[in-house]
Amino acid sequence: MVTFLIRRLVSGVIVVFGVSVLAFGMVHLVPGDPIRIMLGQRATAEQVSRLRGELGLDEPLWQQYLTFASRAVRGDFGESIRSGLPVLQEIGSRVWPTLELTLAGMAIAVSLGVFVGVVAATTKSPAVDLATMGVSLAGLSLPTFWVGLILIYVFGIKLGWLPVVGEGGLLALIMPAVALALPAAAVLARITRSSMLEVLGREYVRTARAKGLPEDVVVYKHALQNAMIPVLTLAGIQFGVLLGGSVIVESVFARPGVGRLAVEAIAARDFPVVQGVVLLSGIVFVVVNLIVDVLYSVLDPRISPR
Amino acid sequence: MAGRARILAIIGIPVLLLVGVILAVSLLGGGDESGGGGSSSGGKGGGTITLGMDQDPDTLDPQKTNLDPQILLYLGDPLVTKTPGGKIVPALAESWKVSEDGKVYTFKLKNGVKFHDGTPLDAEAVKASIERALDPKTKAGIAASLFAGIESVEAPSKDTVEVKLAQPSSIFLLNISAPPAAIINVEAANRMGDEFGRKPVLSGPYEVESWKSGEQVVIKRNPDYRWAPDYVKDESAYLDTITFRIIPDLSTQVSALRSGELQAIRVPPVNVGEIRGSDEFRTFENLRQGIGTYIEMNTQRAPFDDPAVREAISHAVDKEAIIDSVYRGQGEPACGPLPSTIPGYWEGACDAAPGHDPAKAKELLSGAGWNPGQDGTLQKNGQPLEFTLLTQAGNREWSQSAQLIQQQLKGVGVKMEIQSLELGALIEKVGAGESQANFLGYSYTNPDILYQFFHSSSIEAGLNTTRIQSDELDAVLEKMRSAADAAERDRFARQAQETLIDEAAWVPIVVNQDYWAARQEVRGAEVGADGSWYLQNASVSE
Repeated sequence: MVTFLIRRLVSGVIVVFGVSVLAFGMVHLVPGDPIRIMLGQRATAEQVSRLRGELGLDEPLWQQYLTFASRAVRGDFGESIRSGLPVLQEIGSRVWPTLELTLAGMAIAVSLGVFVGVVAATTKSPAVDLATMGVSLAGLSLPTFWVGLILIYVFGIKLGWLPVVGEGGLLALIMPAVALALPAAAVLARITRSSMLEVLGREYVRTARAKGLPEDVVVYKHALQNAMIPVLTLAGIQFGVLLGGSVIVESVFARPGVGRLAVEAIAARDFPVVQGVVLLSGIVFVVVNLIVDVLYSVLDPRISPR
Repeated sequence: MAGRARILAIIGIPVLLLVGVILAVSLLGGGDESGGGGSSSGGKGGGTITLGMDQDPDTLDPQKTNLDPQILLYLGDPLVTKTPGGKIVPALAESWKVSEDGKVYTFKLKNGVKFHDGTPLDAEAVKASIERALDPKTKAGIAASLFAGIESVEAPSKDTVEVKLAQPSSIFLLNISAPPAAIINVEAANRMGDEFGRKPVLSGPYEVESWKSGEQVVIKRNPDYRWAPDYVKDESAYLDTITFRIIPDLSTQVSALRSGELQAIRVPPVNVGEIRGSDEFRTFENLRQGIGTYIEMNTQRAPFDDPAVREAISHAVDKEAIIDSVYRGQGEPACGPLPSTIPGYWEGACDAAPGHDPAKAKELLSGAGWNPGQDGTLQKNGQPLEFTLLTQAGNREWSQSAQLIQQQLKGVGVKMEIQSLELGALIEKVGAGESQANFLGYSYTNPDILYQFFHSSSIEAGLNTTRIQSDELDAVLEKMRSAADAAERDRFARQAQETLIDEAAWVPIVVNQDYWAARQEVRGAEVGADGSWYLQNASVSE
């Protein structure tokens, strides 16, 4: 276990290093000059070059990267070009809304997806099966921002049940979480259905039925437990998808999250903020993956990490 | 990596339920935390109003902002200010005199004015504030250009400020009436550092109560405010708080207005019909102080180095058709580089401007040696008549207009490619002078914008992307800038417009009608000529 952890930590560091190079490279290679955006077209050449010098943007790229990396190692991601505030402070004030949204979206996606998938797999009516899978295909195909706008129109304006943007809190979280969750729920529903169908054909299920267990127990205790394994794997991946999807949802519902911070920073070519967001997300991913790998072996002793 | 695939855990519904419970608990906790701020204290006092805003301010330090957030209008006081109609009136200065040669402005300050922290705002404070904006170390934004041209500031007595200009300027008072020219407490700025940009210490009717990035800025009434400009009915503001809710998506802003979460927004063109048709809202409209869209052609690059081609393009574009379909009739055709809403507009512009006349366009082009080629595109010496139009991605009106123009030009044998760039990339390309033609828009309050767009000194650094270079035009624009009074300035502005319409480096398309809406319960709100909300006289009825 210890060697496993050490190995994973080392590889994690290498991955984070790669992410930092990519994050740095991408923002600097995309056309668009933060100084020009900041000062506007009317700025004189002297104003531009003076500010460029003050921000250290006139140094060679490799040197800028070294400065960035050596400061980042010490937890200093520099200051936002746009606001002048420390990047960590900017990100810190935005972390909770994104986390809240992603977790709520995950909860909805898993419960809705698994429920629909089980219904589709166990129904005796081909029409119900077709309908649930049709709906899930739709859920997968509809663009998130559009779903968001429709939800706003129906529940925010027509029915007036939910706030359109709200002031934080649970009520304001419902619509964005649902909009975010629908595509993931659809994916999970489909995998649950096929996994359930496979498991329901296994012999131990037939045995369970044969010894006279009620159908509910067979389905929910014996079959679903085993059918959940691929579902959980996919749910883990969907978590990343949801984090990414929060970029759009946060803009539509005006939520102050990290995704929107990233979008705004990219538009302003606010290099330090973009680098900070990408690098920290990379670190979060590496850590989450590590935890998941460790959890597998904790949950199922047959899996031993090597 | 090995091990990636061995993801075999046996977890059942109980674990899922557990996860669900943990989530619910953490969500409830979070809900309490983030639900605390921003709730309104409705009943007592002057009430509260929530406005939609599409992005965070960069900073609320008036001297450092590059965005000029509307909030500054409520937080600070400049020496002079503009009424909603655009007239310059006393603010911190109760009166002023200009010397014979137009170079020295002497301001007499109001008495008893205090900054938000209680320190008196006297002549020394004004001097320190302006000097900070002019100091390169400050890295001032818009404010640097507003105060540019000031040679020195003196404070001969407690309530007298003397400002010396290097050159007489017809726009000096206009410049220092802008919100980023507000007088700041320099001592507080030095003490607070970056925090000053989040909670600036100024002297306006409101001060910052809270600013949650990406969410909202709340400002609260300054109870000591007794020095409002004359257009404000009460001597201090009435509303207790004003919340600027940051909502980047414009259709979400409209929805939030409908649901009552916002009381006032600027209405995007597509929603104007539904909002005006509803009796829940009061709408405000303004003909824009600026040109909503124009094509600017690079006069130093082919094919637009030939004036005949530029004129032909002007004749080929059907502005009315664009306004009808893209702007839903909300606007009027633009004729020259200035709209009728900016002082100094030349009344003869529309008669002099090339009208929609495709036959004339074809005639001009064939006169210039362009002959029909194979695919319908005109040719000269084997070169097709084609160019690329750069525009900003994500602007619905601009991209639809550009597509219409593409078809209209195709009708006279000109091939136009449209390249939509995101703002950062666009500014870089346009600024480098690499582009053949750009599709842009502007807003401004006075004719000095002509200098910025067309004076040869603005070619390398500045807005002159048509790269027009003419000694005669330069001379006229210089006289306009240093004119002693507005009447003289406007005379030169008219002269410049005549030349510019003749040069046809721009095809101005539309002066659009802009719309704002407030819910019926909001009383006494106004929208200024510059498109800002004026809420100093506003109140909310329950």
